[in-house]
Amino acid sequence: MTSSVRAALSVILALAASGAAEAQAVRLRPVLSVYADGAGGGLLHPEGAAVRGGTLLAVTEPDRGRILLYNLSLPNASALRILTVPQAPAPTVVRFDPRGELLILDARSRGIARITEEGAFRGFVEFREGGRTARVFPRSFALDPGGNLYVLDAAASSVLVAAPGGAVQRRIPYPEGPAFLADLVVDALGTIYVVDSVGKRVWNARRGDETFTPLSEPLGAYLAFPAALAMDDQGRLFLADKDEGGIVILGMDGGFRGRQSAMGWRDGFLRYPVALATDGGSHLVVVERENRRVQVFAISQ
Amino acid sequence: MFRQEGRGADMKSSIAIGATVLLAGLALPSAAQQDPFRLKAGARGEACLACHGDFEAVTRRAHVHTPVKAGQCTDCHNPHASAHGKLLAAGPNQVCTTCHSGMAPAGAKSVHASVEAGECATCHDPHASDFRNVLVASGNDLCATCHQEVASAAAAAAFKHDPATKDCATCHDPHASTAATGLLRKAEPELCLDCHRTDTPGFARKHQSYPVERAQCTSCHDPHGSANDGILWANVHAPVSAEMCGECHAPASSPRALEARKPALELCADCHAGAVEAAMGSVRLHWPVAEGPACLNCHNPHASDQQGLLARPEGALCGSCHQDTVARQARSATKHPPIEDGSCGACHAPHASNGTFLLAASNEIDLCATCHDWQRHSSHPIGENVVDPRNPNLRLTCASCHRSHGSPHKALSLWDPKMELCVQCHTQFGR
Repeated sequence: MTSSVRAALSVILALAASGAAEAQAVRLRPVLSVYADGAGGGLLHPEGAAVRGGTLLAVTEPDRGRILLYNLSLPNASALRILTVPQAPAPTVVRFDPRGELLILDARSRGIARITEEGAFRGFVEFREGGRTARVFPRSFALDPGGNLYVLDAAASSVLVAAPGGAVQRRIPYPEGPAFLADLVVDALGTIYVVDSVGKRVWNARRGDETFTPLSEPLGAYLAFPAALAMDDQGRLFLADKDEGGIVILGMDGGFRGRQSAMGWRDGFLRYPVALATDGGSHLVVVERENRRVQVFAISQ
Repeated sequence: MFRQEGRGADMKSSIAIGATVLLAGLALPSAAQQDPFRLKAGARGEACLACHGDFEAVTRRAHVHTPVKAGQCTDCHNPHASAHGKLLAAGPNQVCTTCHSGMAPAGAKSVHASVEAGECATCHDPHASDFRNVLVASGNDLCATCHQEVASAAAAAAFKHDPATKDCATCHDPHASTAATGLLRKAEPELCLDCHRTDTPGFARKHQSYPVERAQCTSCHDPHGSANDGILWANVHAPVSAEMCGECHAPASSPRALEARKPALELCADCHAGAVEAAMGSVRLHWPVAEGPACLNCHNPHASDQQGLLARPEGALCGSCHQDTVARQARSATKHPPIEDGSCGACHAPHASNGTFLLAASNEIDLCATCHDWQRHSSHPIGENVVDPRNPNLRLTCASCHRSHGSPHKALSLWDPKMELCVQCHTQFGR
């Protein structure tokens, strides 16, 4: 067998193997449940979470106006500190930027605040578009590795892409029809993925695309009300089914790869999961508003 | 040689036989189609009536279905046996479409429910009738058998729209419409403009000279009649009733006269500042309040038959996005009355709330107690001091055992109350 034939065969085998892996069901195994706030109390209606470097977990509690930081060393977590920022009294969505600062969506001011890991307020992101301050109504946002902001701008029904300083670079209109986008993620190539809660569908727009195209079929057979979206290091998408307590997994091609967990109180079960995050590796963080806890699941195939 | 000749003769005769069989085969179905039951001469139209003699009176009605008139009972019925009721030759959904196909054309924007269900006999008598098109009743009386609410309102309206009281078919196609929703024969405003002139001074005065001939008439007018002059819907937005269109729209002379002066949320906040500010300052916003057309996601800015200028009845409106919640209630063993009544606002604040689930009250137990006051004096321990044994962060509330939007178990119980419910916490009694 010549070397070229051997090379071709190995490519074919590798492709077949990756295809088989892609088609396999993905499983979630509960690893950790975080109940305590580290100050002698429990969590109250957490709404957001983010992980930095696989070791720092941030959780938001809008009802108490707190951001809780935990050292993550799976399967354990230890409370690090509690941040309160008077300028952002109701933190919901939280993300880490590449410099290590936290960006917080505040439900009272409807602005995105930048704070340090110690809780120092650095100001709100000021979006500027066409030389003027843009009126933006963020519902959720994501960051790419360069710190660029991708914002679901509810008022304009568009996804806004802005430089780290807030200069709006482009907008991609929401998909046609009554689309109620709830969350988004951005991959390393700059492809934006959005989830429509009502249409129960994931759409994407590659870098340079001017419109969204459907990635998945409508997912009504698998979930009731998708409210949050996350992506792991293999490009798999995770959707939180808020109303029926479950996680639906899609492959990179938008194909259904399984549904995990179910509504329930005990560890491993979910009640009203409202936010998701990944640790950059093979763990999924699920924020359960009504079980008042954060669970971490190991992703396996 | 002989064998060759013989073979040639055989071949010729085989071809001839084959052609005969083929032709006969082609001819047979045609004959069978004409008379599949091979009735005796003179039996057509008579054989059935020999037994069904009382049917003769039916055939004397003013409008007789063509096959009945021709005595072709076997067009629709099988005289021997059938898998379908009334010895129909095909299922009731198919027997009519054998001749009457295309009642719901592909791409129709609306199809009458009975047409979609193949229930032609809801409106038509398959044999004969005293009404045209073999309808089972005359015009509007027939429509009223199902659409009684609309018919009664149209009849009782102080300001009537003639077609609504005289002939629904003036505006609606009873089968399907490729032009518009609601089975309308044409889309608005073209349908309305077939009867209503817009170039008169009176029309211009009534509409503040706005070019409403390009607008949607039913945004303000109830096409079935109304208690309000000008057949305006029952609930009219104050600027409309005050004829102050310019409060929200550019001047009538503007090329953008039909557009709003500002984005909806900003525009509405000019008058409803309190409501908008309260919503925006709440921890949990109902996102349609801010998304895209904002207030107009749920409200009609001109007029509506619903309280609060809702664009649709509340239950249907909320259910248009929250289909899963509505479906769960529909499947539920016990129905929660507020959902059944479409009164979502009985428990939820539709714009925003500081609590979860957009609840209208800050305390879930208090909210349930507005209807279920018995739980105050006879109840499993619940409240702030009762920790849920399953989760140290939770307190026992009504939702610890019940799911308000529906459950497969009675009393909206999350688990089977006989075997599963109590042992969720009282695990020592579990099997």
